Formats: sequence, structure tokens, C-alpha cells
Amino acid sequence: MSEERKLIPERYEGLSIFRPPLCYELTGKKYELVMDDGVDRILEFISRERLRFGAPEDLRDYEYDCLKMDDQCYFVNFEARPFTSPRLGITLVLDTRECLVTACFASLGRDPKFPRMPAADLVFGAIRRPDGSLPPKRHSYTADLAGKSIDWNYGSFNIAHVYQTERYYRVAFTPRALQRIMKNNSAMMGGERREAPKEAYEDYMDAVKIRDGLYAVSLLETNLCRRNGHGNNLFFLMNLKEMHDVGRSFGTNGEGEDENYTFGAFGAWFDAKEVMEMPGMYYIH
Amino acid sequence: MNDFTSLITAGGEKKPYGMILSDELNEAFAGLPAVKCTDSVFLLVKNSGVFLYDENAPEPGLVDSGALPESADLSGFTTELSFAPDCILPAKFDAEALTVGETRFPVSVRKAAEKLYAVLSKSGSFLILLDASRFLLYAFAENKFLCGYLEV
Repeated sequence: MSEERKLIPERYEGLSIFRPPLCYELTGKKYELVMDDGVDRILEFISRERLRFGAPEDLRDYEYDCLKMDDQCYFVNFEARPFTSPRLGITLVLDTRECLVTACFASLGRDPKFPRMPAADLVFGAIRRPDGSLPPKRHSYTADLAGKSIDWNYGSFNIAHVYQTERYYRVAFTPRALQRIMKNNSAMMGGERREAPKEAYEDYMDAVKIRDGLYAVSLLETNLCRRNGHGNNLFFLMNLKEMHDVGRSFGTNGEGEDENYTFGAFGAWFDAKEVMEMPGMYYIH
Repeated sequence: MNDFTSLITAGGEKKPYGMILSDELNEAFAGLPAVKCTDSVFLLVKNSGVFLYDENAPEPGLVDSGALPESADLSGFTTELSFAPDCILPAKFDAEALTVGETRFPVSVRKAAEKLYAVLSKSGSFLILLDASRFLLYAFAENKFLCGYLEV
């Protein structure tokens, strides 16, 4: 009888093992981003590894990751390295078919009480077309996800995001996810504690509709930060026609080190009725 | 629907994870549907056949997946795989086959690159590109590109 062998994957940063291949389609392309915060910006993909971004009088070069989630729709992530203080992470959802852009500006180090408190601002805008025109519409905040939940498999970890309302999310774990956590790290389950929590963890969320079936979602871990001293901003581009997403984690890791990395996940709709009906820990609803 | 696609979609009940086509090779291979599987490797369809293109190969060009060197690296490996939500199936490789669930598919396993394997069904019903570094799967079956994963 042949010996059973197990495949062992490479080690990747954080939750990034399922990150899909980097996309180099934008190499050599240059765009003028007309943003609704009043600051127009140039975005130029100088090479497969480096881009140039900023207001025309303040252009800077960055290393970047670009991931493709739909036809002519890209997730582009970058930040100055070495990390600055305070930090500013920039992530763009570029829709070059519709000439629209949503930017997520994430920051760390601005909160005087909690130095590792993440914040994120979304700014909508348009990409100037070759003929000089701009589309009149923008990506928009959406209630499409409210009341729904998706279990995301990041490879090393499963977690269900419960899109509780338009502005708040909760987290849940499927029975399979709990089994994996118990198997890999029983400390995460509170050691010997066996009781399920009676209140749900809840925090801020922004959900933006990019196209039919395509959403950008920003999740903040502000309450985790108040509790543990650190929390992140997770920003995702989710393709719910194909049930997978890409995203990035901006903040600090469990060892307190700065992190900003991209990842991917496979999703499955999850019935989170129990978690949705729990009282929330932090907010009056 | 063939035996493989029926199995990985729970008899057609689950919609498989789909792939976005890549436009990176449009200049070199105009009109050929292509998907990107690693930072340098693509799968392309030409004349109903599936070819590999590796930008990092000493002489990059379209390589017939059946012409890749055979490999025994996966023989004996057990895992779980998924190509559709809520459809996770046990899988085991032996010297001549891939068994998924209870179904045994005769296959040949070929090495495409370091830690990258092409699993070709001998009946021609599917091809899977298995990325053993990231535990990601890219398949071509019934004229469609699918993606999936191995349970880590």
C-alpha cells in the first residue's frame, strides 16, 4: 500500500496564501483621476512593480500590487515604504470600462489615545476619457449586502462576514471554521472556554457598488483595537458572480509589526440568522 | 455536464468558482482565451486544445499540456479540493489516477514548473493546473475555465 503523503504549501504573509496572480495589464498606462474630494491625481503604471501617483505637483513612486476581479476592473494597492508615521495606505478600485474609480485612503497613527487605531476614508471619482470627457455617475454606497453573510475561505483561515446593516458588520464562524480553529489554535477559542458568546462583535463597514455583482467593502476593527491595542482596516473587492474576492489588510499584525498585504478568498453564502439576531456589543440600534 | 463537472458542482446544484480572462497576452496571442494562473504562467485555449505559456521559460511559447514532462511528485498525496461553494471533496492521487470523492479518474500528471503540475484526464474531460505553493487550482472543463482550491 502506498504511503499517504500530505501536500505542504509555501508560507505566505498573513492570510495571503490564496492571493491570485498579480495582474500586469496596466503596465505603461497613465490615467487622470478626477476625484470628488477636489484633488485630481495622476496615476501612472511605470513598470510591473512601480507606479507613480499623486497630485501633479506632488507625484511619488510606489511599489504596488494589482489584482484583476472582473473585465477591466482592478484592485491596486500601495503605500510608501519604509512605512511613515503616521501611515497612509492607498487602495484604488479602477473600473477602466466605465471610467470610474473608488479610492480607499487608510491611515494609522492619527488617534491620540490609540496609536494603532485604523481609519479609512472612501473617495469616489472618475477617470478622464481619452476625449477629455468624464462620466456623470459615480460608484455609490449600497444597501445590497445588508442582511446577508458570506463565509470567506482565506486558505489558512475561514471567517464569515455578516453584513448586519449598511454601516455595520459582524463576524461569525461556520462549524467547519470552528473545527479548523480548534485544530490549529485552541488559544484563539479562549482555551477551555466552551460557551458561545452572547453578544456579537460589531464594527464599522462601508459597502460600495462597483457594478452588478461587484462590490467594494471596507471593514474597520476599531473595537478590536480598543480591546487589544491594535486593529486593521480590511478593504475588499468582491465578485459575487464568481464568489471570490481580493483585498488587503492594512494595520498591524499580531506581533505589533506594521503590515499591508494583499490576499484572496473563496466565498460561500452563509445563514447567519443567529448572529444577526444577537444583541450587539457596542452600538445602540 | 461530464462526470467531473457533475461531481465538483454537486450534480450541477452549485455554480463553480469562475475565472476572469486575462488580457495580458492579447498582443502575442490575439483572440485566444487565456487565464493567468501564477505571476508568469497562463493557460490558453487554441483549436480546442489547452496550452501553457510561461513567461519565465528559457524559450517562452505555447506548450501543449500533453507535451510537458511526466511527474510522479503527486503520487500518494491526499487532500480536499473545492471548485464550488459548499462542495469540498476528498481527493487522492495515485500513480495513475486522481480519485475525487468516490470517483476514480485516470490521469497523467505532468510538471509545468516548480511546484506547478498539470493533471490531465486521460478521457480528455478536464485539465487541472495545480499550484502546490499556494494550493490553488485552475481547471478547464467543458470549454470553461474554473478555479478552486485545496484545503490548507
